[in-house]
Amino acid sequence: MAIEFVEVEKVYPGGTRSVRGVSFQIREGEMVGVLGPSGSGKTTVLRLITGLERPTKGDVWIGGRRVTDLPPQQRNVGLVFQNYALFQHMTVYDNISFGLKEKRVSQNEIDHRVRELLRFMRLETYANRFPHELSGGQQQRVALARALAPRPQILLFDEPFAAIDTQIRRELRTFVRQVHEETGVTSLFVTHDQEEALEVADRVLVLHEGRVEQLGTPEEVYERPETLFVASFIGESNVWMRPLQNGHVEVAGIALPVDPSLPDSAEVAVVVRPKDVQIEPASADEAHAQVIRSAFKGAYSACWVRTKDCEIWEVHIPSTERHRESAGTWVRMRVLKSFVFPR
Amino acid sequence: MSRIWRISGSAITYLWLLAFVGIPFVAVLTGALAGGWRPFWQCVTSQEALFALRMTGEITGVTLLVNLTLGVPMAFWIARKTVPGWRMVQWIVELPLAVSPVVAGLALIVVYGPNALLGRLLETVHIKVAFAFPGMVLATVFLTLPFIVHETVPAIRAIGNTQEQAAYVLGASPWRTLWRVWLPQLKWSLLYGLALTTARSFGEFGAVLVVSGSIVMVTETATLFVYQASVNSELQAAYAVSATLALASFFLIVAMQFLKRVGGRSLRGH
Repeated sequence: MAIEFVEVEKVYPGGTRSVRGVSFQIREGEMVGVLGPSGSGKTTVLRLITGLERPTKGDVWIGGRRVTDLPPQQRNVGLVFQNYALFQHMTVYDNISFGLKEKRVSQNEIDHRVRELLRFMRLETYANRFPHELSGGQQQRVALARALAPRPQILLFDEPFAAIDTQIRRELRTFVRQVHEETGVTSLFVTHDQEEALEVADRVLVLHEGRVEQLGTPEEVYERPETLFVASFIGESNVWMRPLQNGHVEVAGIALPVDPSLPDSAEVAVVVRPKDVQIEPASADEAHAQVIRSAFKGAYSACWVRTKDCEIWEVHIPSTERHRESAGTWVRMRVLKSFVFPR
Repeated sequence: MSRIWRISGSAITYLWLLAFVGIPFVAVLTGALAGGWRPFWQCVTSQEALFALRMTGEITGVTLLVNLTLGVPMAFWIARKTVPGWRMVQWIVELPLAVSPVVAGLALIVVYGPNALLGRLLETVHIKVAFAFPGMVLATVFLTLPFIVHETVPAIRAIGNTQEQAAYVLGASPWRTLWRVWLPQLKWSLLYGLALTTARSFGEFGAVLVVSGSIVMVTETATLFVYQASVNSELQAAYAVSATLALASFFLIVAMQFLKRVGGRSLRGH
């Protein structure tokens, strides 16, 4: 089901403004990663979709129906909690069948569906175990099975992998994506891990201080960030504040192109990704900067250079190029791509 | 050296048990059975004793029901801290732990007595509170409500509210969530609280004495009977009913130990 937020605002009792006039549309069958630093309102957005929170202002639509005042019981939404929130007194089987029982599905059907999910989640041998007898990854899969059992129209994950080891987190991430592809259900997951969001999501919703900064594909938010926040939050970046002069802006003695609509002599923020800078050795007079340190990082080498204005830049050189500049080398820089935002 | 300490430590414990539990318990039993089973049985089954024991049983039963229906919502109210007034509720619930039962009983007479406004008002609709069954239940409820609340508040807080929210999202109404998610997990705390309530109701004396007026065959409970009998030097009767109460308490203690062990095990599982 499609999800739409129209000017949604959420003020908690006590006056904390968690979400401030948020509008966005999520298409049917999409998998969207909700990304933002802590306190950006991402969990609130999720809870507004479930109905566990009601908006102070604005409307929430699910599948073309206004659900703003609908209680969570009637929204047919699946939610996987951050700490799973499994029913501790129930077996894996009973946890998964919980929602089906509430829907008054026949016993036969319940059994069929639960067995199917146990198989799908590779949990068959754990049906009679209690949650505290399972590992974190297994509990996570039970939580997912429990959410999927009543065939929700929307599946939501609240920081689903936060409490799991790196290795298993990778596996689960792939698994969740696989589940999404097989069920085709519209899914949202909250995360503060951008790598996770970029890897798993069809589109990423970037939130900051309770506002939508951008909603776009991973490529869009990375290659065409719409705001300074998105540019600096997603991926590594060098950020410099500069005044605009005669329609261009200069960093490290390199003139960069600027959107002509920006007013002259305004302060702007210049963002250059480390991968968008090329360096080559040059004589001290011609050079822009001097290498301070470089480090091998697998797919690329990171190189820190100091410009003549004493600013430190991070530059990434693909490992295929094989040349690592040693500390002290003078280099010329070429900026392949940059973003300029009004302040 | 440490061995000597250990041995003397347990020796003190056993002596203490002997002095304060064992010897009095045996004394009551021997006192009750001094003349053999027949007089004991006659005393316990005398009309007055039976009435008193039944009265105690009835008060305990009603108190348990009232405490369960009042105590659970109050425990949630206090544990959640979201609905205003929880501090007030907590204060009211903890009050009986500090107030003397006799004072509590007197307070009820002052409010519900035949000369008080509320008491007279209720009497016009033929509800008698003071010197009657409702007043005795009221006094017992007031004194025992803390037990169930005290036992369940920490359990509610430990469980948190995400399981409840999970149940809501899965389609369960608040009522269904109480039955399927909360009560099964609060079961042991509730049972323990109820056992404490029962023990206190069996033994309650001061408040019930003041509020009931201790009228023979009308408002006399088992403890009031024991008191009255001993004052009247009917020691055989006093011993017999005391022994019955003591036996009930003994089984209650055993049950509570069992609850603690089983409940503790299921809590550790979390």
